[in-house]
Order: sequence, then structure tokens, then C-alpha cells
Amino acid sequence: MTTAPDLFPRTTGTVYEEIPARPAPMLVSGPLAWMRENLFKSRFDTVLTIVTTILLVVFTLALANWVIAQANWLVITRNLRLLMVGLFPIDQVWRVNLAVLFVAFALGYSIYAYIRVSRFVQAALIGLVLTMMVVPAASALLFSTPPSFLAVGAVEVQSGTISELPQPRAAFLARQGDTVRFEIALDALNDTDLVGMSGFMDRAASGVYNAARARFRTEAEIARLDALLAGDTLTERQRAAAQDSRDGLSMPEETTATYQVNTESISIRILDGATLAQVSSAVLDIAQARDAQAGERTNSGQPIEYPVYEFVAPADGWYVLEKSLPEGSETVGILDVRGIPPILERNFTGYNEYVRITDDFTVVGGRPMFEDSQIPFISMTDNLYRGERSLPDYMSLFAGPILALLGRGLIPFIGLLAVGYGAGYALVQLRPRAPRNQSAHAPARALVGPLWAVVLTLFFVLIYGVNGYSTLDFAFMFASFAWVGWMFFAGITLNRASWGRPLFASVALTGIAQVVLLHGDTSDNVSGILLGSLVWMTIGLLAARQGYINSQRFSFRESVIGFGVSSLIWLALFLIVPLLLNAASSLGLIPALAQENVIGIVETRRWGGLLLTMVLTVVAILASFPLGVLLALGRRSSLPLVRVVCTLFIELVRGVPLITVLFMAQLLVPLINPGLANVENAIRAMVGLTLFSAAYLAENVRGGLQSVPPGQDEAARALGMGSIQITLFITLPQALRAVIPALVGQCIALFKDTSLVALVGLLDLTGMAKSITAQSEFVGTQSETYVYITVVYFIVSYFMAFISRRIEASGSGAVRRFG
Amino acid sequence: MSDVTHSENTASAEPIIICRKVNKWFGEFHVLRDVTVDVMPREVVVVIGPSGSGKSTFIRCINRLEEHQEGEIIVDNITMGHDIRNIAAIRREIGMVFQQFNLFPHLTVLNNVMLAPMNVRRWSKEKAEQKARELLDRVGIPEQAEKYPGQLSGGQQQRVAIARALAMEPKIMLFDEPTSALDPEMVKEVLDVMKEVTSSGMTMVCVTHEMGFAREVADRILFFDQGRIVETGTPEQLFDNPQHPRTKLFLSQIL
Repeated sequence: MTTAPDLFPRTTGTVYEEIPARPAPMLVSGPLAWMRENLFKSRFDTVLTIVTTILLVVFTLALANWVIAQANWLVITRNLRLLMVGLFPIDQVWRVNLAVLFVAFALGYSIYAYIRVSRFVQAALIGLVLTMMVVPAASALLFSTPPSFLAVGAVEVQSGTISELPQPRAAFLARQGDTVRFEIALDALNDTDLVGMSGFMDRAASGVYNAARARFRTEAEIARLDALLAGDTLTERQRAAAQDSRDGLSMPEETTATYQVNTESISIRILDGATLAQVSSAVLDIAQARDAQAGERTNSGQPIEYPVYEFVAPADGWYVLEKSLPEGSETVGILDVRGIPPILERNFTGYNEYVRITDDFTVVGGRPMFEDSQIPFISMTDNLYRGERSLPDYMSLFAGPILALLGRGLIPFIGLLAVGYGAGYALVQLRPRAPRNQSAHAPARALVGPLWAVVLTLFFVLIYGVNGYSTLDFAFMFASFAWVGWMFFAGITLNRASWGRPLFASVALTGIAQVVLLHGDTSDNVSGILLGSLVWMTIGLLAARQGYINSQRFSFRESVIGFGVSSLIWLALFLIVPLLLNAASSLGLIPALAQENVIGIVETRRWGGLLLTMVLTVVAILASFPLGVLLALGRRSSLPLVRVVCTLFIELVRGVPLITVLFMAQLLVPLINPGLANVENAIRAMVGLTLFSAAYLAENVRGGLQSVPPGQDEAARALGMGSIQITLFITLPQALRAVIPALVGQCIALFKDTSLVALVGLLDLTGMAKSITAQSEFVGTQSETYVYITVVYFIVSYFMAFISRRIEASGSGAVRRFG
Repeated sequence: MSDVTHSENTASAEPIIICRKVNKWFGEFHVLRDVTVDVMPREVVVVIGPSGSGKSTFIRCINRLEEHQEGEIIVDNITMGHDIRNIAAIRREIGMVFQQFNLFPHLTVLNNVMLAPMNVRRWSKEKAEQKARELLDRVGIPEQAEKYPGQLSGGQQQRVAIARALAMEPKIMLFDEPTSALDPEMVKEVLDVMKEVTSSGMTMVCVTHEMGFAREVADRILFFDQGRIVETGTPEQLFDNPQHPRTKLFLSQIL
């Protein structure tokens, strides 16, 4: 039987020794090895790496050059408010700020609940805050505002076809303590010096500058043509043309000589902007200056007395600089002025505003008048300084102000993010009872939903507003909320201690007294008082009941803390705040309380910028979510009519471009029903976006529903669950979790798609950018504006994508499949 | 009905499941042919047979996950029909365990077990949780209550599925090949739990290929082939002395 060849000779069994686990070997070590491994693995890889590097470097350099040297970022600094909140009334902007801070708090809290923030992100945020704090302060400290050059005299300055007469007066804004330094521009002794000047000028000074510049250009052109004609590289026709051009040109006279720049003394008077009363005056003696300069050249030992005049502003406000040469003088003087920041006049928002570029000092109203006409103010005349600025000028005029302005918004935002984050941390420290194998941060998650509900409600209430509420009313209203919380904690104590019942009774009575008092105070009719009191009492009792039910979940310490905190809040809101407000109003610090309309309604047509973009996005997302889910369920319904209607809607909307939907909402709706013509544009855009988004969302959700295995439905049915229960508890949660990436992608797409509302006349971020670049003072700054909104869109989209990636990674969004 | 042999311990009571001439087709394919069987309370019936013989379809008809087209199924004195209320009432009394476990992956083990009692039986959260922890203890995995199904082994998942079905306090338990999707190492732990359930006196219908288990716990065995019951009897009768040639062939192939 054993004739078969012994292919597998039997060996004796062996028991192997245990081998301990070792760490994996490092395959790559050192930067050179890393580069060899990752960048230059093969010849093809090397070529690709080099080409990519070159492209990257070229692009980065070009961009940096443009950003630093070419771009005029004033368009952003000056219009930042418009880009952020649109035409929101200036005195109401605090509401938007407050609402955004609430959102920042909620964001910080949610981030704590769901996401590990890496040290890198923390460091980046801290770095950002420091940059925004340090750079403006440092650039204000280190670099003074560059000089402005002003022309003086009664001579018309020719600049091309335009002739300018130096203005005898110029208005400027100064803040108390600002030092303004006037000096004769001694540098401008010849044309080269004139061309070397750059800075903010009035038009006549600019004319002198341009004339000097033109002379040099002509000179260069003549030299070029002479060289050409002297050589023998030209054809006959070219030679004739060049000769023609040469004959048309003649060497102009020196500009400084033509206008006799800086040959006479300049008198300066500073007048008060409102009364035109003289505040101060001086004469800058040019002869003395020339002597001094000559002295400096020959004899450097002597101290030089420059004719300098310094003016210290006694108060904030308008001042008028009056400058003149001696009577009958036929010359032009150039004044070198330091310490007057350029001003912009704006009336884009319906307010006439004058804003200093460097520090955003804003004055609303009119500017100084002389003989019934407005006095021109010192401003930049054009963008001639582009690319010709030194770094200090760049820092003091651009980088400093823009960072200071951004920081004013972003630093509180980041601060509140941190506070929200800390609140989550504090909560987890207070109730460290995470169930096993859940993240330690999980207890914080329970409050994320309610927190957002409250924050978003507050957000919309603050932005849209409520008419007829005084500060006092709000204090009392929040006192009622605080009372409800108080009742909750009183409810906890009911059954736990001997003093629970008396405590509960006293809290309840306090609240009832409060409710009755308040409604007696604010309502006129008895039924209103009764109804309001009943509603609040019911809510309070429900809260107490809930506290009683949940009493086992709170430790003694927690219930005491909760009770104490809610009592303090109630006391503060019901007693202290009204007392303070009353005191303030009786002292005349704030307007009478009864008439105050703290957050009056702000019509949606005044919403704009990023605010409108975000509101449109959030409303469309919130509204389209339930609608989309219903449509998805409807499309999978077994009822044919429901199915057909849902399918028809989805396919119809998906088959039409968004812009069409928006135009339909804007234009066709009033035709369908004239009553709808009064609906505000922004609301119609919201409806259009919602319907559009719902159709796409429905398809995403349907995909998710299809991905739920049929076994899930069977298991739920076998347990006796009804179809609504199955949808709510089994199918939908799994379907939605499966499509989170698609849903977030859709949110981001929707956020970007809101820019289309600019085409139907809304001033969202894009619409605002369009109308900003249409302002005459910012003509030609489309690049800067669109680069800016690109960055804003990118940051918000990237933030959304980042959050969604982290939520998916954190597992709470992941579908946990078997195996 | 007359050819059904009752096991001796249930003779006195009314049958809890009555199937009379049940017929079902998938399209043109005749899956169940005149299936007629009674199950008495506390009886353990094991269904065996080759693949595609209609065992699973039969068991799924009992709680109407599949609809039969002809014949009559009466469970706990309620006749299966199109009346949705009847179906819901019957399903409440029947627990089912699937081959693929079908746990709800988005809920923790504890919530998987608590969900139906809270929403169908309207128990309070406290009561449901107490019951759920008790059952998880009974199936031997109390420490996994807060985990998600995806974090458990197959055997543990199937035990959770059994706990989930038992949480509704059903009168009848249906097992549809509960060990077929398991690694061999884990089959025993699930069978042990099932034995424990049978010993508590639960009425049970079980489709399985585990002949050892069938022999040990079954009061009666049904042998299915081509949609009909070919042979039935006690485990001793069927395994040791099969009558029908098809049964003989089947047993000779698997044993």
C-alpha cells in the first residue's frame, strides 16, 4: 500500500517558541532619504516634481508681488462693513456682532463636544490673534504715516490738458492730541526731487508732480528717437515716421523753474472746522530755509533751523488748513505735511461718513463750509503710489489698518470660540459620567442640539428684530426664562430633603408674583394678563415636574449649584438689571426706558454682505432638510399619487438651473398671485433656494435610504414596530448617517450657490462686491474685491468641510456596519 | 392536519401556531406547498431540509414577513390576514432571530434591546433598561451594553439579537438559521443561549443545520423538501429511523 512516492515526508510535530511583537522598522530616515523616496523616485517623478515646483514658485511669487506691491487693499478696509453686514443700520450693527458672538460660542462648544482640536490648530489660532493684535500696534508705533504734499499759491498748474489751481483751504480730520507737522518741501528743489515724491496730494501738487514726470518722459523719448535717427537700422519709412515724431517734440522747461517752486514764504493758519475761527497760525520763511540749507552744505557744524510748524489738535473733529503765499505771488509752494491721515468720503450707506484711512476714525455729517461751498479735504488723488511704496508706508497705510479692522471682528469671535470650548470642558468636569467606551466629551454632546436651537433663534430674532421692546422688557422676559430654570431645580429638591417642599413653594410663589406683576405692567387688557400668566406658570410647572422626574440623575452638589446659579440669574435679571437701568435713565445716561425700541425690525433689504449670504444659506439648509427628507420618503412611498407628485417635483427642480428658480421666485410669483408681490426679495430668494436645495437633498437622502439593508426593516417589523417608527428610529438615522458627506457637500454647494442671488438684485457677498467696485473712488479694484470674497468663501467652505470630516472621523456620524 | 404527531408534553393544550394548507409562490415558483403543521405551546420544533426547500420562507410566513397566498395561518388565536392591526398584534408576540443578526448598527447594544419595548410595548425607559440589562446578563454579555454592534464578534451579536427578541417578552421565538453566518468557534456560545431559552419553556420554531442541537433540544423535527413537509417526527424517529427516501438521502449526506 505504501508504493506511492513520498512527496511529503512526515516530520515530527514542532511547537514554536513565542515571538514577541516588535515595532515596525523605519523605512525612511532623514530628509534626503525622504526626498529620494517621495520626490525623485524615478526619472518621470523627478520631472514632475521639478515642473510642479517651478509652477508653484512662479505662481506664489506673482501672487505675493501683487498682494504686497500692486493691490489697493483700501477698497477692502473701507468697505469691510458693507461686505460683512451690508446696509444694516450703523447704530444697529451691535446686534449682528452679538448674534455672531452667540454663534461663535455655540461653535466652540460643539467643537469641544465632537472634535479633538490639534495643537497645530490651537497654535494657528493663537498666532492669528497675536498677528492681528501686534501688527497694527507695531506698525502704528514704528512707522509714521507718509507725508502728504500740498500745493500753495494762486498759479494754475498745467497737467496734461487739465489745469488745477491750488486750493487755498483744505479740511482734515484730527483727533485730540494728534500732532500735525508742516514743513516746506525743501526736497522739491528740482524736477528729480519732484518725481521722487510720492504720497497723498491735492490735485495741484499732483499736477506739479505730473508735469515733472512728463518732462522726464519727453526727455527720454527725444533721446531714444535721436539715437534711432543717428543709427542706420531704420528703413526709409520708419526713418520718416521717427523724424516726424522727433519734430513734434521739444524739450520742455524745468517744472520747478516754470512754477518757481518754493521761492516764497508760506503762511499757514489752522481754523476750527465748525466756526472757522483761527486756532493757530505760523509763517514758514523760505529764505531762512534756503540759508539754512546752504549753511548745511558749507558748514555742517551749525544746528539747522528748518521752518517747521507743529500743530497739536485740541479736540476731535474737523480742522481747516488755510495756506497762502504773499499777496500777488506768481509762484507755487509745496508743503510737506505729516500726521494728517488721508480721508475718504462715503455716502454708500445713506449716511455721509468721513473716515480716516489709518485708524478708522469716523465722522458722520457734513464737512467744513467756506462761503457756502464745501472745503475740499486732504485725500489721495489716485492710485499712483501703486508699487512705489516703501515697506513702512505699506505697513502704516495697508497692513496695519486692515489687520486692525479684521481683528476687531475676529479676535472677539475667536475669544468666544474659546469660551464655548471652555464651557464644554467645564460641563464635562462637572458631570464626569461618560458611559464606558464612549468619548469623555460625550456628555457635552447632549446639549449641542438645544444650544443650537437657542442660538439660532436668538440669531434670527436679533438680526430681524422685534418692535416695541425696551431693555426692561427683555430683562423681565429673560427673568421669566430664568424662573423656569429655577423651578426645574426646585422640582429636584421636592422629594429629596425636608426643606424641599417649602423651597419649591417659595420659588413657585415668587415666580407667580413676578408673572402677574409683569403682565399687569405691560398688557392693558385682563385677558392678556391672564393668558400670559397662565402660559408662564404652565411652563414653570412643567419644568418643575421634569426636575422632579429627573431628580435621581443629579447629585446633591449639582442640584445645589444649579439652584444657586439660577437664583442668582433670576435675581440679577428681575431686580438688579431693572434697578440699574432705572438709575441710568433717571441720571439721563440712557433714553427713557418706556420709549426704547431696543431691537426694532431691520427690513431684509438692508441685509447684505456675508450676513445675507449666511442667513440665506442657513435658512435654506434648515428649511430644505425636512422638506428634502419628506420628498425622499415620498418618492419611495407605496402610494402612487404621493410618489408621482414627489418624483415630479424633484425631477422638475433638478432639471432647471438655480438661476431660473431664483428668477421665477422673483418675477413669476407676483404674476401667479399679486398678493405675493409684497414679499421681500430676500424672502423670495430663500424660498427659491430652499425648493432647489430640497430637491437635491431628497435625492441624496433617497440614496441613503437605498443603502440601508432590507434586513434592518425586517428586523424592526419582526419586533412589531410600525412603519412610522421604523422610518424614524431605524431607516432614516442610518440613511442620513450614510449620506453625511454628500449632505455636507450639498451645504457647501448651497453656500456657494447663494452668490447667484446677486443676479436678482440682492446685495449678498457677491452682489456687494459688485456694487463696491462700482464706487467712483474704487474704480479698477475688482481684482482686490473678488480676491477678498474668494478668500471669505473659501474659509467658510473649508471650515464646513473640515467640521464634516472630523465628525465623520469621530465616529458619531459613522455607520457602524457589522464585521 | 391529521397526520401531525403531537409530542407528548403538549397534548392537553390548544396549538399556538396553526398552519393549514399554506401555499406560497415567488412569481411562478411554488415555494410552499400545502404546508400543514400545528405547534403546541412550549413545544420546540426544528425545521431541517436542503437549501431552497422553503424552510426560511415558511418560518417568515409565521410572522408575516412573507405573505402566503393560500391557506390559513393562525397564531395565538389571531388569523393572519391583511388587517394591519392583527399583524402588529401577532408580531408583538413573536420574537425572531435572523441569520444575519440584523442588529441596528446606529444604536448601542443596550438601545437595540430597549428600542422595541419602549416604542411598541410603551414601557418606561427605566423598565426597558432594567429588562434589557437583565437579558444581556442572561445571554452572557452584560459588559457590552454600551458598545455598538460593529464592535462585537458575530457570536456576541447573535446573542444580542436573541436578547432583543426576548425583550418583547414574546410567546413564540423563531430562529432562522441563527448559526449559519458564524465562525465555527462561535456557534457553540449561541447554541448554548438557545438551549437556555428552550429550557425556560419558550415555544420555539428553529430552522437550523446543527443536527446535534436539533437532536438535543427538539421535541419534533420537520423535514422540508421542495416546499413541502416530507417527514416529521421526534429526533429519535427522524434521525435514527428515517422513513422517506429523501430524508434518508439528506441525512446520509450531512451526517
